[in-house]
Amino acid sequence: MEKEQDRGVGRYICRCAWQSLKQKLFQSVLLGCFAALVAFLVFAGTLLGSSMESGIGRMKERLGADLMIVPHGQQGKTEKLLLTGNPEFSYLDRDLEQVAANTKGVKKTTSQFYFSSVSADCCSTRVQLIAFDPGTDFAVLPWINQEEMKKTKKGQVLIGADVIAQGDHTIRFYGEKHPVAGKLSRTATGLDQSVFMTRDTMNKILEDAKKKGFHFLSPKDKGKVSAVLIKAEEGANLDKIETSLLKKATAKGDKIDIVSTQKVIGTVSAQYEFFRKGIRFLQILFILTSSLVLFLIFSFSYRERKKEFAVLRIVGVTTGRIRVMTCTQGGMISLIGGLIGLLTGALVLFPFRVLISDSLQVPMITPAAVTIAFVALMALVLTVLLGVAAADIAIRTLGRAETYFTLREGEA
Amino acid sequence: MKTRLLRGAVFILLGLVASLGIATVFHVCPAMKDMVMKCYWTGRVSIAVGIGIILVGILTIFAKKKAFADGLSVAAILLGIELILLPTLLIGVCPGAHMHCHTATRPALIITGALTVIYGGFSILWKRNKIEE
Amino acid sequence: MLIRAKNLVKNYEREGVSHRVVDQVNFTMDSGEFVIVKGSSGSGKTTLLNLLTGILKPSGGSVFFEGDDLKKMDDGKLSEIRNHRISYIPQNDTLLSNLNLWDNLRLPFFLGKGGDLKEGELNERLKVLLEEFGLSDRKCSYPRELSGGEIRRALIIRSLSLSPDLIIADEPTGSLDPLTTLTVMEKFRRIAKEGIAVLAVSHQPETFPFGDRLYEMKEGRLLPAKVFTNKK
Repeated sequence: MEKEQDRGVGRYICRCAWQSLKQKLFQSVLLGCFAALVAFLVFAGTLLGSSMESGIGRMKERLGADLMIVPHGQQGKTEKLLLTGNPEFSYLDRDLEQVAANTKGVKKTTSQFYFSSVSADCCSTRVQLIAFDPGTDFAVLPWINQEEMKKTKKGQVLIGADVIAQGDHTIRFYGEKHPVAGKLSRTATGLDQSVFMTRDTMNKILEDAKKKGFHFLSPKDKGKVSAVLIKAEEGANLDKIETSLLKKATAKGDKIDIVSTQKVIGTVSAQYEFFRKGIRFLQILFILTSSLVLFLIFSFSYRERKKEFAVLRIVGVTTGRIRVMTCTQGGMISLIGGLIGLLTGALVLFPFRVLISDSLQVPMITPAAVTIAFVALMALVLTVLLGVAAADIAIRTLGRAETYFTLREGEA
Repeated sequence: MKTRLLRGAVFILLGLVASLGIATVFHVCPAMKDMVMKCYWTGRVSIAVGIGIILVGILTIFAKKKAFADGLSVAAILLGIELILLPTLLIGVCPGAHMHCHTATRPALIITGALTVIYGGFSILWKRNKIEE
Repeated sequence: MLIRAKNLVKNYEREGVSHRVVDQVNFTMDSGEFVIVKGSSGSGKTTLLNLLTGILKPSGGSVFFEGDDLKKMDDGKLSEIRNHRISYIPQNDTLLSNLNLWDNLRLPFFLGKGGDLKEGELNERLKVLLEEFGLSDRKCSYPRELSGGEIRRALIIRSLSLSPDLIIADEPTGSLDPLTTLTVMEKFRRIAKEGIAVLAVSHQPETFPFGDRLYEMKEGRLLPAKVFTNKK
């Protein structure tokens, strides 16, 4: 006897399944929608969680400092700076850096000066300018190479991932062009919207601003800093360092706040955990609901197709083959729905990634293409298996009645 | 009739996203006292284009002849291309990566435009065996 | 002996009460015989046919096909028999509405075991049968586009497609005009002459003389009615 594959049995079954789907279009669309929903939630939900996890991981790496001394009342604004890059600040005495360096448990210190400006190249958004000390810095330097570092000493600037430079690789502040030495990789924090330079370059910009009639620094703020960054020793107690610094500053007559970057990360991580649990809950809820709905729709559909199944039994089709046919149909509609769900997920997640990240206030880094492909495949396989399983369980449940597959006298 | 209704409804939905969507959820940066950014003009034109696509959708519902319906689909495709070009080449949006027009308006217009072009093409290529009464 | 029913019984439970639908039926048929069963609605004819084809399992007694008890066969073996040994034409239209005529005719071949036929051989056979039954130009039509008579003829073609040993037809001329009725019965007569056994259920008296033997189904019992010697 000819082998089944030579007879084109598979093709025939697929054609029958496709014709059945077309015949009951409303039911097919409904089934497809639920399959699309499952695929969408699994794909988009998993990638969203993964992006957030990567973003937080990168944030932990790039923040560099363990603690930051900032002027009193600036704690909230500094956290905002780290997360969103919206700059608002005032200044500290520079000698606080030495005070911090002499505190027990402190390994390294460096100071930074923050300033915001309107760049003619960056439309009307305010760009955060960060001046760092190349001699002591440990927050920016690890992320730039030697060449770029040399260039910063010559008045060139480094721009964050979201800052736009002109075509000739310069950026303009108050009428003066400043060459861009390089672009830092994405941090998914407010630092992506910052421009980094040495204090000398910053002072030049302030002078240029003054010439244009913008007086940003009052004479009393000359030589001051915006923040002192602290890197603690391995195993040091950050709370103790914080307490000690506050005491010393108070004794000096300085009013300061101390920002723990771990706490900032902790807040973001807590938010991420909340979303992650929410996403996971939604995924499980919809998978269970969709499974039930798919099963019910298939059951209803098979009851309507009682005559069709009876005909198949009459012409000698085994119950096993009927199961193959119904599962093929279930798999087909789940595959189509799944692909639509994946496409929708991609259309929502990738183009609107920044909007989602800004709205949720959680940093997000797009996963690698391989990860995306793997998650997509996993979501599609799960969706198809769900459809096939629902169809199979439905036909097996209905097929238990002996008379289910018979045609009674006079039955249409 | 059902097919025509469905075909027109898809265009109407896409037009609503481009017009109502841009006016609400996917809004551009608000005009300031002394400065109007280019995204403002992108938004204004997009709303007009969106209304155009809605009109195409309404006319499609009443288009009995395939030739007429195909002509409307071509119009929709051109409007879709315009939606894609508005925030990219024609006018543009603010370059700031975290500005709302950049994160929301731009992708929304590009996606809506692309979907309009794809669906318009699909409408033309879809074979209709009978001329509907 | 091709098929034999021995003390066949079938009971159904309805609202806790057992009803005997087929009552101690004994029956045999050989190849080439044309047997007609008459009976009123509800007499158990269709249940008897379902038992003879193995679709239903008897409550008592057995059905033997070429000596093998259908009751003892598994689903695979039974399906194989129904696929290309016993062809059953039910009373109602049993063409699948989502397939055209051509695909409907090839259904037993593709979805069942298909017998010893190859696809090419089947297609040739079907073309000849379509020509013979006047349906060649209806190959691509869907069942909703066919008349009652065309559907009946299509079902006969399907039943012949895999060269069965026995054809069982439930009211094959039920909704047909007198001319078509005679045509269909003539064809069954010819099929039987070619060696295929035919068992038909009919309530139309004009069809009775076409058979070799006539039985009557009455309240679940199969009673011999007449043996015809003048065959039309």
